[in-house]
Amino acid sequence: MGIEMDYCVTDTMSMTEKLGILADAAKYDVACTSSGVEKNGDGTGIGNTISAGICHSFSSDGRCISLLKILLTNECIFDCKYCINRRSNDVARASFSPKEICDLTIQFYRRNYIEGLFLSSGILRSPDYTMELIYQTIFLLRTKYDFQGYIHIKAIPGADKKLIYQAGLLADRMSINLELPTAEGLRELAPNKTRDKILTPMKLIRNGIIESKNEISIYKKSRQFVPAGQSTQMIVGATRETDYQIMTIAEALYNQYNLKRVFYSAFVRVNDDTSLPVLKEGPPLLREHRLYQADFLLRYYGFSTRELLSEERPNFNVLLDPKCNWALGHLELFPMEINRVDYSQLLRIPGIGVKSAQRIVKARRSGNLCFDDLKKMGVVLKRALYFITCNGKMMYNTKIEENYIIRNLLSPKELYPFSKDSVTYRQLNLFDDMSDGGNEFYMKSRERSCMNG
Amino acid sequence: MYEWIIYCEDSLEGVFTAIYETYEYKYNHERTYIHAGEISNYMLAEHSRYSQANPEKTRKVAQTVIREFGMDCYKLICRALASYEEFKADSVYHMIEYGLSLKNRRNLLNDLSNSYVLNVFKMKIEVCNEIHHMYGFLRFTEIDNGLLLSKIGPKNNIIIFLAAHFEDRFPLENFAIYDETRELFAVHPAGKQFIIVSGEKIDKEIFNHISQDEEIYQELFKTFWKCIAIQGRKNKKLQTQMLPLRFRDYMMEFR
Repeated sequence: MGIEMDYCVTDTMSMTEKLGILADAAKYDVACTSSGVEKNGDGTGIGNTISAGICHSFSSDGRCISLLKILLTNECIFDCKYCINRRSNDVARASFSPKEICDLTIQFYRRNYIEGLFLSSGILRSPDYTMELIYQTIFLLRTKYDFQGYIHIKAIPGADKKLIYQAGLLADRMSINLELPTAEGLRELAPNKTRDKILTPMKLIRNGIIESKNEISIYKKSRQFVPAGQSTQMIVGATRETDYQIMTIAEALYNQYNLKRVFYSAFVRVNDDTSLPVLKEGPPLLREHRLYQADFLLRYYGFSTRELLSEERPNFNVLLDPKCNWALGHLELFPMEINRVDYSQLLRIPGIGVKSAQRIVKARRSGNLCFDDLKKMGVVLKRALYFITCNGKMMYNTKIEENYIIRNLLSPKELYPFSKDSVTYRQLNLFDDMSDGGNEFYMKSRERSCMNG
Repeated sequence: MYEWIIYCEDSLEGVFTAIYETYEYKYNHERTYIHAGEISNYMLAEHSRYSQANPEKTRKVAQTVIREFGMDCYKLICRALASYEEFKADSVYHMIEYGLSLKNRRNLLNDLSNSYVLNVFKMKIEVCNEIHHMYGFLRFTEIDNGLLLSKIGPKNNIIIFLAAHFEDRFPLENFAIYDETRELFAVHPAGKQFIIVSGEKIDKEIFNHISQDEEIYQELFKTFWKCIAIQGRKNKKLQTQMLPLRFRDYMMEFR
């Protein structure tokens, strides 16, 4: 590990200044989650991990703070147009030494400020050199400091295979940002990156994870390769891609690259560059939100991109969430009888989520359900009522008609079409069970709560 | 009107003992109410009595619950009984009584159309959600002798769950958690198991004796916390939704 510390040109800077610069430079990476691994401490060091992940604080933009998200350095030899740290920008530069990062992580962790470390970096000298520094840092943290908490690192595109593999044996999660959904977009805005350079390490990590899982099932080896899986991020709104293109790529990443999560990051214009769009209304947050909603439909509800969007209708409806939108386009399937349709069909009804669908399936074994029971199980009836029957009857005398339903779903603050004082609707969050531990649906509800950050 | 109101200690032992005694003395379950904690003036019944927690009776009820309804149900009850709700003991009592009347007892937890089961279920979710929140929102302060000290004020009585979590996380640290609303301490000496101490008041002075590094790291974290926010997406409403105000009094970054 003989890399000398001569890259530290900022030795005179205080820790506070450095942290300010390097946290600020890291903030546009949206992944914050500390989920995916359940591992108790072994009693000799410090730290454990919880499969659901833990949010430790929330910043003023409402995004969760789970990990100490910093860059090792914001010096960079690349010149990506959208990035604040690009070579041609005149911004204050700073670097941490591996020891400084370890001390900061441990001291924050002891005070329960954070769940672990999320280490990324600008490209210093070369991809290999940078990857080696990241590796050294987490090696120190795992061995000398005996840290058993969560570590998420970036794999640097273009870095040596062996380095990435070694680092992956120490980290819980690794990610490589796809940044722009299409190869053209990448060529336009990130001249130093190519599609190939990004996808190669992604494949490498995927294969490492699969091999490691097989090995573990044979030998029960101690250290697993990237146990919390791999994630990536796409910037939304910097180039001209449609939602359909973005979702198609996300679907391919889930199916072919076994990604755990794909994050979407509304483009924030930090550089004044003619090749970047000017967004008068600020970052496209609603579009980002719709993409996350659709992402959940892919991962947990059995939908495919082709069902939600098409070449002819390539973008999501601004007013309606993707599931409602789908249902309105397939009214011939509705109303569905709650006491009869199977689980996969239940999931397709607006207002019914994974948890409530599970509860319905279990509960109807002991008898027919009525609307009141559904309410207790956390079904959002104000949405569901247009699409379901209980024992052959609809809740109210509503019409199965697209315009009629849209009008009612969109009425101010989504008021109920008929006020009936005896019926009260419970808040959904009462049923957002966050701590069952272990199962993937539980992880979903946690990750959903911080899906923006 | 109730025939019997049974008061008991606000603990698993207290409630389980009281439940055992309703069977032992053959009370009419429909007209019996169990109340955990202080005697309340607003409840009237023909008779009332105090039930003294008893380890043997507790064990018998616990065994029955595990045997008839399964371990999941037992764990659920343990968490529900940490709730602050007034009616928690009675809901658990009547849920068990209802469960024993069923043929398929293992299915008890899915029977949400029963109001007692639903109550217990809801309490459990609320307790578990608060535990999960506190895993993240609890803050330790380092005192000058190296002790990590935390003050909390949760709605539900969850200190034991928190202590177990942090014991696994920080096996080699001396730490203590203080629940100021219930005056409960969880004390964890390095390398040993934690203990719960009740009825002691905290020496308020102790927070003035913080370690040398403490202030430095507090400032560093505040810097991080400010810098990590993206100004262009500022959203206080979302922040409040995710991190309700009641937690913030105890979190140093909001001070």
